[in-house]
Amino acid sequence: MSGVFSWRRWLVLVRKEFEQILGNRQVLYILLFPPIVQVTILGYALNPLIKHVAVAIVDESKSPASRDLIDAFTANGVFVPQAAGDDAASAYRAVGSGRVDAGLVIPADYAAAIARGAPGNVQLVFDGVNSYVANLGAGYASAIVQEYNARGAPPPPLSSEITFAYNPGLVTAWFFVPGLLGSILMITGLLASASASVREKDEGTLEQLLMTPASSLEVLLAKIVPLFSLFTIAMLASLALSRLIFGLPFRGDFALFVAISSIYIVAAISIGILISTFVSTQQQVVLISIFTALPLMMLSGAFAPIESMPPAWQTASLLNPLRHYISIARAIILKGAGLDVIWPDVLALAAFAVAAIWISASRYRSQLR
Amino acid sequence: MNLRRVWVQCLKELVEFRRDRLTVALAFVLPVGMLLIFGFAIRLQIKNIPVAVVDFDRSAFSRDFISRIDATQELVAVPEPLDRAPLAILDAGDVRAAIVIPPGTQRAIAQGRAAPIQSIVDGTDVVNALTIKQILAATSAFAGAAYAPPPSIPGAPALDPPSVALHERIWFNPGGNEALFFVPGVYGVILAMFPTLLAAIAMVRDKERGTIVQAYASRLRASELIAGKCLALECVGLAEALAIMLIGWAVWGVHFAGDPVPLLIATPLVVCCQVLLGLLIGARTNTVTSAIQAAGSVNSLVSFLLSGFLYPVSTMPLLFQWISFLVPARHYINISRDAFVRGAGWPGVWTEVASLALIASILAFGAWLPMRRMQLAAGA
Repeated sequence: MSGVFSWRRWLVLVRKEFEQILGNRQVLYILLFPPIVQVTILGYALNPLIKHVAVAIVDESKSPASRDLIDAFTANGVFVPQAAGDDAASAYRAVGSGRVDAGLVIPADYAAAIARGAPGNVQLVFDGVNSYVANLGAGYASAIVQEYNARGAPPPPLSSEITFAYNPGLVTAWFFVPGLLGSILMITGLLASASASVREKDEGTLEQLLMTPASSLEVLLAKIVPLFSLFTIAMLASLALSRLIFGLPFRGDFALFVAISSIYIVAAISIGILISTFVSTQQQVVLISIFTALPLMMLSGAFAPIESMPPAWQTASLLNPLRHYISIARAIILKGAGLDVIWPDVLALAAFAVAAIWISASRYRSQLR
Repeated sequence: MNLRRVWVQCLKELVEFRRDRLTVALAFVLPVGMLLIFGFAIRLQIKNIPVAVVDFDRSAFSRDFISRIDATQELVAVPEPLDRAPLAILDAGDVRAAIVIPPGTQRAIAQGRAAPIQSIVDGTDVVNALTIKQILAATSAFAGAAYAPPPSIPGAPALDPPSVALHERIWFNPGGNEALFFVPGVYGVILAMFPTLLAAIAMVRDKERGTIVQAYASRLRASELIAGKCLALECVGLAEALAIMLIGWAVWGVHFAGDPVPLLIATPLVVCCQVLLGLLIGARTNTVTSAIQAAGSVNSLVSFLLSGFLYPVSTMPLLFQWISFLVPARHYINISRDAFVRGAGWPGVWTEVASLALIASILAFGAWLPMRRMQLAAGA
């Protein structure tokens, strides 16, 4: 290794890498467009709030009281009544076959019980196969009935007044965009750099590169630059589109965000290069990259809150650069936070980027057996 | 179509696959590793969300209120010194809500005066925020009632509103065991991901290395080439399916709840769909990098996020619900959840099996089309 870092040599290498990428239109499109489109499309399509829960409602009571309850139950549109038979068994059959998500049965003695002043018993059965829908739905149903029971009574002395900070309209896309942005940059960045580096090995051009006086670090940093520019463009474009489509606010320091995103993109690309130094064929590199990227995505808090994970996994997720990036992105974009709050995450990201480049550089020459 | 040529093409693919020992190992180790991570680590159910409580009241009531919050398991109360503003507490980012119990709350409730408990909830995570709101409303109603004046005092409700007792039950998975939700779902995601990747690479590598020219020059027809490759990768995919399902059974006890036949038919079908999709991507793209991006990132994200694996398809905008109809993983996940959890069998899932068959035939045609001439594309 020729110890000294030569800028001139490096710029020549950068030019070579740029020409390689720009030379292939298909590669260029496929690296640039999917990330941009995916952030907006998935931000629009993903919705964690359940709606249209199909309920088979069987009203054996057929009374004004029971119809009143059904109206209250279906008023907000979450529970959508479906055609059902006349007896309880038909509702249970519908749930059992998976045709509906839930079955509501109001027994024949419901109206009589209410008239007596006794509580009217109502059965609600959920199809637990989708435990997500069942859990949230059960919570919604309890809240509806609680509200229904409180109707007509004077307001209770103790009330709960809630303000939603940062996202007062509870727009789900505002939650998803930072997570998707990070996830997609990670998965595309990692795959692109890993497969491009392995291709060089596959085609034998790596040997030629290593025979030049350029140092491993120069070669590696030159490889990062073109991909880095592409993904920075993709990142900025996704943010701009999200702002247009979802009205995503930007409350923090834009320059700070771009600077931290650059560190993150470099980290994603260098992890890809690092993976490529361990394997020798395209199949292997893709399998490992996908296998690395998807768990990183799922264990990052992009979709499921980190607090819900088992404790050991929560600790392990500290080793996930995506987790740090998403928490930074949400803090800067939505909360307007500054370095004073996010510095531990920034430090962690920088450590990942440096470590990945450094390990790759030290392995780079020894990867040819 | 000449079956012998299909068979020979299939054997050639399998020999090529077997020669690369590391790929063979990865093709099995990675799905299993993914299954373990998803089965153990991913939880959508909200649990242990930290909320800060600023208790100015310091009364029996406020202590009771805090312990009720802790008792929910969804939230964990974190005591907070009195000198920080609620928004500043949220800004620091360690808690998802700041709840303020004002001084004199217990006295106000006992006298029947209005006593609001004010909370600021971090609205970033929408499901979290709504759950916290629901829990706080229920806790306030409950804790407030315990300290409210007895009904004999004037001003108490005069008439009893109709009261409904809701008895909720959750079938098939009464304990809310999330492994039972994720494991059958992740079978679908894994089978959507790995066979597609292997197929796309197998196709495009021949093109990139130029060895496809030998196939073009031979008497092999496009349909035979595709069928042969498809058959070989089908074997690999089915072996993967068997491996992950055995592990799902051994680790989480996920076993057939009813008639296994729909799943036994759907598994080869879904692998076939995904392999054909991979071959289609391979036939359409010219470089491994593009094929990998298309088969790797786009296909995995779609199978992952638009298949109902996490959030139900019914929550998506209508257009996406239609699009997701073309995602094989969506149908397969429904079949797999039925086979392993609900056990209703054919009446519930025959449409899904039929959809998979339809998608497979569309993809077969799509993969055949660009290859039919068995010639290099002009300019390539």
